[in-house]
Amino acid sequence: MMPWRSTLGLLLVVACSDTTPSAPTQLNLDRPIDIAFACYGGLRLTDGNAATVDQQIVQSAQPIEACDIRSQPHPDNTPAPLPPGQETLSAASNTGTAAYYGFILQSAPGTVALAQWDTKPTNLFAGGDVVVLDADPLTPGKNGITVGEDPVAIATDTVGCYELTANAGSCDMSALDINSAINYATDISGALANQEPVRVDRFAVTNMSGQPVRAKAAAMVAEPAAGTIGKACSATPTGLVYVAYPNCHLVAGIDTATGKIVTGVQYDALGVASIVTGDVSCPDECGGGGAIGMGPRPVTLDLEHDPRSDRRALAIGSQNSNIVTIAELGLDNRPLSLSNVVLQDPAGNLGVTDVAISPNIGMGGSAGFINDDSALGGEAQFVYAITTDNTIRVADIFNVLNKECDTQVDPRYLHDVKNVKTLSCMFVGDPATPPRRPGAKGPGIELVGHAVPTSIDIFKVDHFDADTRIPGTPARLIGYFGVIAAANGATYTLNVDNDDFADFVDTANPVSSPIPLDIANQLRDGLPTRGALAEELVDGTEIAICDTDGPDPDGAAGNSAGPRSVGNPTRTLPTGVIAPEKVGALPSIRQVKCLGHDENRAVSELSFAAPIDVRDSVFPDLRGLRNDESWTMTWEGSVSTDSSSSAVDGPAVRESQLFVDAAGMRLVDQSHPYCDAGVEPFDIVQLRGCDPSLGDVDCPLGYTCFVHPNSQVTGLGACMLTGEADRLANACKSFLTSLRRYTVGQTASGTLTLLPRKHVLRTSPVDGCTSDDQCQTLANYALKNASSLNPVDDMTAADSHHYSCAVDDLRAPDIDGLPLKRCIQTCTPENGDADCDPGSVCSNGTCMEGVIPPQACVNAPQRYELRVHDAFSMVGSKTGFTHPIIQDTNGGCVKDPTASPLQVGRLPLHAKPCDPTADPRTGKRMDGTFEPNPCELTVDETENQPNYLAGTCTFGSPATNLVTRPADAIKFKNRGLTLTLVDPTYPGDASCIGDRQGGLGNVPIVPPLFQTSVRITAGFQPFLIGIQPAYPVKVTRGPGESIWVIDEGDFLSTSISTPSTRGKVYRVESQSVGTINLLE
Amino acid sequence: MIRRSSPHQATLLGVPRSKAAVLFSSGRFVFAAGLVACTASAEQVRPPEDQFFFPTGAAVAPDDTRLFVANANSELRYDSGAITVVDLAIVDQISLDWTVAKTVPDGCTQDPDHIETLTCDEARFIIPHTGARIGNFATDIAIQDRGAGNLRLIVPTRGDPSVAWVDFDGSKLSCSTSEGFALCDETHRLAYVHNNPDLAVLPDEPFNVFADSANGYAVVTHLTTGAVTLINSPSDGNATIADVTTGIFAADSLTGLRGSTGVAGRQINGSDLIYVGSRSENRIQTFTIGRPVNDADPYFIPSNFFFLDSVGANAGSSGDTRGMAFSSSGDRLYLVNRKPPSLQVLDTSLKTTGYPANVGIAATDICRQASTLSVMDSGDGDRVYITCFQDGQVYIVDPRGQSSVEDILTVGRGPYAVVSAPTRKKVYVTNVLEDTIAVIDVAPGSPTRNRVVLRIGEVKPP
Repeated sequence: MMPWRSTLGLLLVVACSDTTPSAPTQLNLDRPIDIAFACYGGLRLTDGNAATVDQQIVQSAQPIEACDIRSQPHPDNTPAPLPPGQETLSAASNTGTAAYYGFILQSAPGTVALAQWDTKPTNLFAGGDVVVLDADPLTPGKNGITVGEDPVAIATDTVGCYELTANAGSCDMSALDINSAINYATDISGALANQEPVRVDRFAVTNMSGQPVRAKAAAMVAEPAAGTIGKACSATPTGLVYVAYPNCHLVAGIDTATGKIVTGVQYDALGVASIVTGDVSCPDECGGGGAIGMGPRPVTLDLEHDPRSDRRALAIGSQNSNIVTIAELGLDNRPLSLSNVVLQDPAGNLGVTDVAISPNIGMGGSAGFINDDSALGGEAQFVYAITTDNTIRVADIFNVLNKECDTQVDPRYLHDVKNVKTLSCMFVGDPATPPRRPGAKGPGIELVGHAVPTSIDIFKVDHFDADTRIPGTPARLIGYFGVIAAANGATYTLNVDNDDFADFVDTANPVSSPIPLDIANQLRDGLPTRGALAEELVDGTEIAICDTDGPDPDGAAGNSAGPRSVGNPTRTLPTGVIAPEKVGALPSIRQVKCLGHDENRAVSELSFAAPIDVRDSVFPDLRGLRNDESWTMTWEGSVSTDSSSSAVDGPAVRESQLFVDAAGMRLVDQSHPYCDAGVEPFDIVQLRGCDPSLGDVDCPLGYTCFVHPNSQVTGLGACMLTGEADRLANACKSFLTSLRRYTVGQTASGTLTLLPRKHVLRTSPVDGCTSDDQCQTLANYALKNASSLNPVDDMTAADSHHYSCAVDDLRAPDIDGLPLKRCIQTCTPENGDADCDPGSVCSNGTCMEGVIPPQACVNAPQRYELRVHDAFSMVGSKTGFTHPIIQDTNGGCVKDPTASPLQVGRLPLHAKPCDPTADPRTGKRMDGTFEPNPCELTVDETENQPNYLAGTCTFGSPATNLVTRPADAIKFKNRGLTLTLVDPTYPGDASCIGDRQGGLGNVPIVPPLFQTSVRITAGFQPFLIGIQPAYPVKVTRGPGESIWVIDEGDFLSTSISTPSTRGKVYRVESQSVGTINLLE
Repeated sequence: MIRRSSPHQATLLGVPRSKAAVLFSSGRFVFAAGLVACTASAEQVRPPEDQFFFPTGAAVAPDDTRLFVANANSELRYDSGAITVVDLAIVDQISLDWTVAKTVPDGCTQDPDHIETLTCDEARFIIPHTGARIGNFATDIAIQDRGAGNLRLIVPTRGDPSVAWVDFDGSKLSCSTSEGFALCDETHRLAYVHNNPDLAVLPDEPFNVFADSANGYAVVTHLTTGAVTLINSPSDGNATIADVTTGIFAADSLTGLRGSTGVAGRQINGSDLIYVGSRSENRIQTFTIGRPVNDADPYFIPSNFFFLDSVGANAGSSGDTRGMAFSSSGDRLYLVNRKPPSLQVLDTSLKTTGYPANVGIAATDICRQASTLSVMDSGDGDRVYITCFQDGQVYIVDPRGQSSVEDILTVGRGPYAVVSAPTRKKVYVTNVLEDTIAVIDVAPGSPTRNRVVLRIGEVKPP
């Protein structure tokens, strides 16, 4: 509890800054979980016959179709349509109004709350149309109607006269008489005068023999609404409901008039489903008795009556089975036959937690209206299953096809596919189905981040007159869409058949129609104008320009357009290694020529101003890109980047124990993180010791951060027992004064063996040195890198250290696996450490960056970084470091043989050649194999080269020329990016900076931790409905295709002006998703 | 992550012990009380051996024979708290006689409001002369199995603050050289790191505790400082405070407090990866425990962390973790969060890389102000039992699939700790505010499944 003084202070602060008094909000709901809809109002009792003036008009519940008809659009100044038989015949024979009612089930209190709204076209809705009624006006507050113990689902009976609840807590059902409930809530005096209390009938579910079936229900659906408008309600409910009983492995079809099970679907212990009669029995769960048998546990149901085909199908999902059962229902809505949809389940542990069936849909079309009867892609009907792998599986069940669709096909393979039917559902396991995008969990639709889907339903959204929504904007839904609630409170939308957008990639402007936005069953994107180009309007004509980064992603209007870099890539260099004038010699992201109306210039291939084909190839999978992410390429950089605000690939600085014994030097971590981090042999372990500037904070209690007096390495202490540090200083001197950088030997999930690391010249050629003399030349060159002078003027002294060209067995071989000679710094016994660079120590004639210490030096926990060797680490701020490493059966770290070739995060300076015959987009060769990734090739690089006057290093006019030249390059592909790093090595300059005439060979000049960063914006940004539930548990389709989201969770407010709530219910208009009614 | 407090926090830890601690030690509490009131003798304020008084923490022996109950003495009626030992065989026998034959033994009555429940005086269940006295305001009990029937109880107590360690040899608890219902001596009451008052004191508000029997240590969380304390507890030696780490979690933006709360361990190849939750941040920090080869004290080794962003985050309401527990396989972590009130299920199975996945896979809305939980598979899969202090209820959640509430039981006033005995198919709940233990039958197929069949202790009036 907050101390009272703090509380008072908070109140005062709030009071001073908020002068508008806030009335306490009346909370109406208490953890809602489900909703059902009804229609109530004036009803002429025609009994289905023609209307006459002498027929009685009553206030009554009636089929929901009656309210649907009253809500149909109609011209201004004309009366709303009325159902047949309900026409106004005279002033006296006028049925008056009717309204929709929502019955909101609240599980914990076991009550039903009432909501009400008028009949009117959906496009006339605004906020505040839906209100919660008080079901018991005589009791203070807003009250619900008690229906049962732990009810789990509510449904309206077939004719709209009763609300039925399945009560798990009491293993029975309740029937709420709608007439009595609404009458009591809206006319309490009349209800009391007529002694008409709210009528709730509890009834047992029985089998055919009349024996009670006391099983706990998990889900319920009612048969499709029917009934004749004009008939009076009967004394009992009408029609069938299907109730799922998981522990009985049964979906029971219950006649709601009698409570008897009359049909159903039951699973045997092997999971085989069969149609049953009412001759069933179940464990008495509410009596605690009965053994629970094996078999699928059905927990979710959906029943869809397709109006075009008249198909009636019941989908059943089981919590412990990868099979969705589809029951074909007859005209009486009873099962006629069963079929299975088998969802891919390689781990053998898949379960289904929610299902939804779409209508029959004509696939394809982009004209802005629903074209079910003339669609190019033929017809499909999908079943959606939220599965325990946190994805939404999709299968096409049209004509009992029952094949699962792969929603994760890598768009690189679909770029040129124009067959809408193919793109509508690519069957899982079909040889013709291309590979998935790397990192996909499976074939199902994935939400973003760690979102856990909880519920889905499908909505048909047509265009309407006076539609002011802007074509191409995310909020303009025309076609069929799914709405998916997630436990994190986000509500996603799903393109099932978007009839307002391209169906395949537009060859003329591919960036306008990327695959994830074209094809069926993909999360809907939330950014507008994806096809925007670097153009400006001149005299009414769009003309290309180059001086633009595209829309400001941080602007008040929000982001838009396609993926691109924000500004140019930035470089971060260690100081004193490369002179600023020479940074052009460092590797860089390829630049291309932009031909613009304003100017011609070199632009990054990642930029908005890059040519369309370049943008198309650089960003091959929009869905593979996070909405906004910074990517860093760090030479020999870390494989882990977690900070206090992000957790994607492990802490940047880790901590483990270090052991030194006869088996060598080993980092041991009981959490076994190393394969997960992607460590490979020859990677670098940089021990970080402790930071002496922080005192002993980095060390355990009882330890001190000790710095050896001879150490020349800044900021690198070592945690040692306070009482031992001085005593061990001498014994640990070599360790404590070195850089403490090691090479990884063997890798296992819990152990890394560390090898002492020789000090190698930074400019040692990537394809190997040839002689000691060459090494000495390159050592001198390395020193000159720091000089701002042109080579002809540079008098930097030669490097006084000695280098030997030799194979270092403790470092990686060359790209073919052969020994690679490197320039290794050497020392003499006479001079010892003085022969070595600071931080290197002399050991057996070689300068070492890290040596094997006595165990006593490393008894404290060791802080360290894991860095890649001989490569850039490619790390996304949200994606992290990508790698293909897994643990083998012995605990060792190995490359996953099944990993996608795009699952890489290392970008070297020298690689195997690219294959010119391979598909440039996918890298796939004709024989089905893939070219190396990364791979080396020659590309055109456009840049501003210095324009020296002949024979001098004096700039001419202009000082630079825009030149396109062939350049050595490394092509790198990952899930969402294909980028090209040019000039991985540099031959040196002959006379002037940047003349490239040095002839030194393939010399790498990148210093450790040299970093290139680029922010990529406008990646995939899911279109979310603008509501903020705390814990939404259900999405359901309401009247007029309205979207209802039921939020069971508590919202705990920290603001005095915002109430804490115990659940909410949202109504969102599918034709206008910004129109939201909120009940709380 | 900062290994331990910044310099000014270190100073805070190094200040002399709190007044409460000084008063408690060596019986000086009694002396102080006498100064103020001069009304009660030592014998008069000696806690009873055969009664519960504000039972908070509880733990079941690994062989399911004993229930250890920590009595918090929250209204300071007595001079100390206590641990009492309940014979679960007697509990089983009386509850069985009651549920099968409706036998009502002497001293027991049928609960008039919950007719399926028998209420009995606790004395018949508490094994005489087995208890021990500890500090006030005990919060939790963890059991370290030292083998051959020997146990060690690790008991954080807020009053001092300190951590008591009490050995159990199969017949009685002992934490002192004195005989009888003795108060734990200074050796058994851990208050200083490395037993060195000059190094650091135990941080305030010890909260939850987890013990790793195989590796001989326990981890204690601290509710208001966010510190985490490592207790070195070799099975053949004394327990000591080996390490304290602070600064792990960010401070609550409203209160400024940091809080470490739930703690649980997941076995990976014989070692535990310790998961620690927070009341002030929606983050789970993991640790391993390092043992240096020179036999110096063990220390914390911080490992990866992850955020609880799969429930409620979009509404800006995610966090305030309380109880945490793993499934027996370690593949699932069940975690009680208060914002929004939810039981969250995390997949902690090992990925192909050998490291736990640590991702949310399901959640269930539960009561507000939930505190602790217990996980047990009594024959038909895991169930999670969650205490709801405010509502006097226990939520029973079936965590399979999307997870769902299977039952909600009214158990008594102020339910706090919930523990389970798998072989007995029973769950035990301490009702702090009424001085009782509720016994829930959870046997599959039992007619009284998920019902409070026995209430141990006469209900104390509000």
